[in-house]
Amino acid sequence: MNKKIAVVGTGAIGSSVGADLTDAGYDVTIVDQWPQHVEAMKSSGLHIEMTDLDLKIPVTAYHLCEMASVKPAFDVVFLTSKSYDTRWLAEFIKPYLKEDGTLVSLQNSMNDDDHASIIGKERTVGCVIELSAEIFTPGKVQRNTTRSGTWFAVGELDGQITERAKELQKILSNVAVTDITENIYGARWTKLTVNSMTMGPFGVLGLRAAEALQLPGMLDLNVEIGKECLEIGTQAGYQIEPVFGLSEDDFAGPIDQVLKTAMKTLQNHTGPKSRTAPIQDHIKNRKNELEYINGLVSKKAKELGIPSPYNDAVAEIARRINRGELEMDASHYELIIELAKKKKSS
Amino acid sequence: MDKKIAVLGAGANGSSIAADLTKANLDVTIIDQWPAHVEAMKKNGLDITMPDEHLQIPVKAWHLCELAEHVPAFDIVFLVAKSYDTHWLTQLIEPYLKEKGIFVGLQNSMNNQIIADVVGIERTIGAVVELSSALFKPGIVQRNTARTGTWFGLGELDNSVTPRLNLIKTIIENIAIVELSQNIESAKWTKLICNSMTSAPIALTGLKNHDARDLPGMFEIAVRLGREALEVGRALGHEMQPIFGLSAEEMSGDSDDILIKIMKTLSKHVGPNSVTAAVHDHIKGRKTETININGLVMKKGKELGIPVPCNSAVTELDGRITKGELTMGESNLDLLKSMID
Repeated sequence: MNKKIAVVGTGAIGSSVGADLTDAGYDVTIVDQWPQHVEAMKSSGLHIEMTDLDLKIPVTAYHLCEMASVKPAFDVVFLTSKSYDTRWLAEFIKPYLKEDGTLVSLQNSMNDDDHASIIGKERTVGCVIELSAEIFTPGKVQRNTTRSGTWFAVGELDGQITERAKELQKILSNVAVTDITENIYGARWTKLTVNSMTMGPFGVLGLRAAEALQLPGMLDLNVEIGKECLEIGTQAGYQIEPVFGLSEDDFAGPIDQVLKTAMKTLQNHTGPKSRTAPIQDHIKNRKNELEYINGLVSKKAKELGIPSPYNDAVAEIARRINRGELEMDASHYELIIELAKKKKSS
Repeated sequence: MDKKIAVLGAGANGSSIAADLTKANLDVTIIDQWPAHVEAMKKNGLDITMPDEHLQIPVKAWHLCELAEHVPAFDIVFLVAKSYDTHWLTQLIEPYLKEKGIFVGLQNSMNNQIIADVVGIERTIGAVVELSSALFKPGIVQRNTARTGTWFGLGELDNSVTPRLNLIKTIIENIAIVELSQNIESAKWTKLICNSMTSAPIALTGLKNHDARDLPGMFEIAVRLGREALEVGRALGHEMQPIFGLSAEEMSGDSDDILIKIMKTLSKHVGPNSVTAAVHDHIKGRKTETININGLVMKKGKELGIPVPCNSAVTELDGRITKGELTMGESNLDLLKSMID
């Protein structure tokens, strides 16, 4: 296995992936924009704390400004950034991806078509990920999902099961339980649905899942958000896909039940300590990704002429937080309900 | 003026520009990718040595990874990067450019279409830049062209003269002599012709501009490169435009004379100590912009069926130096001659 692999945009998820692939003996180059993190990786490697494994490993890491001097040529690029960093990072790494290379998006939201428009459809593969991790100190990651409790699904954009998809499955199996999906868009939308239900409201409230769920009515709100997503997804032509390693049967029941099952599975995997990414972003004073989660649902709904009051409300509050007009706060639960009510009546 | 201005890409030129705009009391934010340079700017500001002035000035500088912290909204973005960094940097900054903002590429080569595809043609203004400078140590720049010897051309892509074009002109006048162009794409191609004649062939030798210029055969090679670039430009609809402050009259007459004139004017402005950027890049082991200069002439020439042997050979040799297969030296000139004769 002498393929040259890059992991680009290495926050908590990318660092976890880069460390595991390096640990598995692959030729891995980590490329990131955060100077202190790159410095730490260069001098001390990565330190990944999992619940069942403490991994300390030297890695090959470059700051992105070094690429013009290093001039590498990669066979596989795993892009692990936030969705708002999709287009420029794809443009950035494009000159360093071999003509017959592959870019795999290990991201949330629906970014595969963006990648395809930049890198070329034939060089783009999607991958749904369920990996919870946090980084606050350069070089050091707290990974909440163990390897066997992390779930990925690789899929060609046209749904074919190719040799390439199988090879990527094999590579990524060093990081997570990895499936191949013949319905990457459906799987992406299903993951987006769960993200909208959890990352969105828990993010703007600034609460861990278990804390948020103690609020009366919270679970119903999660389900309402999820139902909107599913309706919009169906109208947009996406077919819901079992994710997180759940079976067809788990996804066969009444819709409320399916949504609750998916949410509960996610929480079991990530554990009680994990904080959803927007909370981490807020602590770091960085922009959150919710414009590409509830914001995307809300945008799609508008295009299709379907009401999505709950996603609209969460997206609106997330925007205010990103603009610095609001802080995350548990009291935003009432604000979500109020804004949604207004949207419904308007 | 209360406009929020970003200078995106702070190499030697970007740093020179940002320092002058900051000195003019404008609200300027520098955004760059080189961590050590950003650190130096944060700590000590910028230090710009010009032929007639030594400017030390505190500046506001961010590393590009800080954009997601500050979530700014800019009225004006000046992109001052190498051409090969155009697309991704434009994508990076697009979310932070106001809806009615203005994006100006202060670069070589023909990047306006790439920029307009990302930010929209209605937010794009074109520019020709003649500013020579070098940056080796974080925070410290040697600028070879004095403000009065630095020349910028500005133009709307639809060739109209608008209030916002005049606004940008007023801002840029803090850095350089500015003229408005009503044919900015052709003016940019004229600059590209000049670059094709001087940058890459000089960089093959690794010498200072003035030393390389005087090598036997260099002058003839430059003129051949220029002729090819001129012919390709004409086929694309670009007649040479007055640049570098030359008048329309000075730019009329025999085309070889004009090529020689623009080359000499550039050489005079940048002075005897200047070293072309491609030499700096080769020294640093970085990609040069040659692929976007001579390489663009080669690509367009091939598409149009116009022979471009000289630009093709220069592009190839430059690529071999970048790959480490060849080192800079005077003998490369003989190698080049053997490829084109």
